[in-house]
Amino acid sequence: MKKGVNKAFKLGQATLDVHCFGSGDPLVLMHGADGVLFCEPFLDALSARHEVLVPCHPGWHGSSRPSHVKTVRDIAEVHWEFMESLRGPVPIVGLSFGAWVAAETALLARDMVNILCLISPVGIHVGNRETRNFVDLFAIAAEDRRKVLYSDTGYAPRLGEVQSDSVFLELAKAEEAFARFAWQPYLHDPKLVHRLRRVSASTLIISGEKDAFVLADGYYAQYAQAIGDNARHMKIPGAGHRIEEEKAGELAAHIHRFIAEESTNVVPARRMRG
Amino acid sequence: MFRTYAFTEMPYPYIPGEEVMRSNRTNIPNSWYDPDTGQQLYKKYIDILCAADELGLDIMFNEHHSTMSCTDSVMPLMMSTIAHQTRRARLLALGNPVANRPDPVRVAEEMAFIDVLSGGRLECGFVRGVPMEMSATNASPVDMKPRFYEAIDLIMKAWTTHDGPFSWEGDFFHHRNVNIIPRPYQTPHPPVWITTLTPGSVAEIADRGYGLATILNGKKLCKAIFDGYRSRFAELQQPAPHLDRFAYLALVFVGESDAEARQEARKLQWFIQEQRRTLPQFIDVPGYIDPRARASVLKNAAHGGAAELSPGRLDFNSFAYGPIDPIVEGGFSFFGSPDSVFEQMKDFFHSVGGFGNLLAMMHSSTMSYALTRKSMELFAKEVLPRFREEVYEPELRALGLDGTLSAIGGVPSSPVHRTALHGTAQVLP
Repeated sequence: MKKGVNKAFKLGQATLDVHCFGSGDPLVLMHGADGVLFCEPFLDALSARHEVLVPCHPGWHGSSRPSHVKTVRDIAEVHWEFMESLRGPVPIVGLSFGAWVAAETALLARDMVNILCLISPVGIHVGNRETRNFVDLFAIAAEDRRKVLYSDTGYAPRLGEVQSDSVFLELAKAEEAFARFAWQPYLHDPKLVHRLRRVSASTLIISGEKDAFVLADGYYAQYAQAIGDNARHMKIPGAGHRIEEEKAGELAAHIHRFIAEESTNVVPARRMRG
Repeated sequence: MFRTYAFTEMPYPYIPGEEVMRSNRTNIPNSWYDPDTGQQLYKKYIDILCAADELGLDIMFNEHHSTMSCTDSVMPLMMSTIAHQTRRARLLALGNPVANRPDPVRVAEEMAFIDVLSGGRLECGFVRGVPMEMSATNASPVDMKPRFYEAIDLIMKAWTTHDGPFSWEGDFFHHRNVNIIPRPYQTPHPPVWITTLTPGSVAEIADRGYGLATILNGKKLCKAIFDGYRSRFAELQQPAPHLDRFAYLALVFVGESDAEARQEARKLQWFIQEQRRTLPQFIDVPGYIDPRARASVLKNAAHGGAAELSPGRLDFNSFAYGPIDPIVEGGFSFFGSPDSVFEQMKDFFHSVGGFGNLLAMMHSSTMSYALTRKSMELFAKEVLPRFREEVYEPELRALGLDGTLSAIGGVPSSPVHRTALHGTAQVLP
């Protein structure tokens, strides 16, 4: 896990563990299911031009989970308070499950979010009631999980080489937290697709051309359509679902470019308070 | 009185081998299940359980889902069938997987229905549910323990409230108007049992005064679990718990000779063999166990180890395929002639500090009605009366418990206690 500067934010009953990397205009990163365990190269690339603030979702890493936080929208309510602590507005980048959290946060903290980059986002359901949108990660073998999440399993974390007990503890905590929020309905909130039209931030959706985890045809394009004219979708050739682990530099470059282009139209962000 | 509950998981054993189908649960297509055969099997299982009643044994039921190893997928339905067809056996539900059931009030209704239909013969168990059930039941694997106990608390209140509706706004369940009809036959409610496989979960069961059941743990682990319960009572400065609060589940086969019993015991080992046919991802479900414990499971798996169904117990390969002697000597099963099974149970009884209920899995795989009945009959006629007379009752006398009854979950387990709150009515024919 990449070491940054950790800051603890007390937000009501929640203590939010915020990992801070790099310097520059601030950018908030909403991490995916595994927290920040396996995305060190991406954090390096992203923080080359920005101060990257990663508020860990309640239940992940050092962030506590108040008992009432039971849904992704509840997570977003916690992050909303965090966003209000920034002298925003700021861009948010979300990774897969974290992109779902980012979309919910952008809906709540509308004035605090000017740019949204959703990387392999989940959170909506497309098609009819029998359209399986995602591979059921809880019903397949570990080896098959690697095959569906990565275009090349060589990019998957080499856990067999990891000796540190703390990594496995963080992973166990992250997987429990993911199960809590993603179990049912599986990886989506049926209402989100109807709310997305209220996203006001300029939005870029990036997916991997070889994403084998998302099964529904045109899923990401429909995600962009649900947001509206302020959203567009692009694919990265050769990438699977976890683009940040497979194409860290290329993904960061797309994000930097989008933020630079869109920042000419938006109010500059300021540094985090405190 | 020492009780023995006859038990079968009601398997559908006519499935292909592991070389064709690695898994027998959760994801096995139900095309492997033939309903005509299934109907014959249900009739056989009903006959076996009715024979248990006739022979003086009690009867245990359980339920599992999406699996060929247990086709009693809706336990209350089979309990109702048996309640109607039997006259004397106590009927133990072990149990209701209430952390997986969306509505505990419905469970309270089902159990009250069976208690009334059976004339107060229900013993009501609650189980947390195995990890393999999480996908089949769609229940979240996180927060199972608090959900489990909130469900039981709601069921207990539904059973014991007799002055009209109450409301319930818990962490997991919300009801505006709980008012079950029928109410249970037994007053204040049927005896309550909870199953555990580990000593760490015992105190919370003892604190609530519920009966304690454990499964296939062998002498050493069973003793640790029973000792934990007794110690908790001592810590709470309560009288030592009666022996009838303790239950142990073992595979049981009684033959006319040891040689015959050992041969037939292989058919009961099938149950263990089938437990191994579960894919690792349905055993190691995130959230089902504490992350601190699961971290070592993840590390073990990452470094090439296999996920274990029940860490710390007899290894499954040995239990499933190994020689009979270690299985019997460890107290995991009772196999033999009537004399041998008597001695095995006596040894087990004294090894674990005594217990009052044997949950006897006496049928599995393709065992016929005739074979199962023969074993049950030998047990009922040549083992159980002798065990009661020579082991259980002397121990009760030694403990000063002769003639007393326990209060499992606040009520005696027998005879039936019933209170007519508003008098009785004559039912017209």
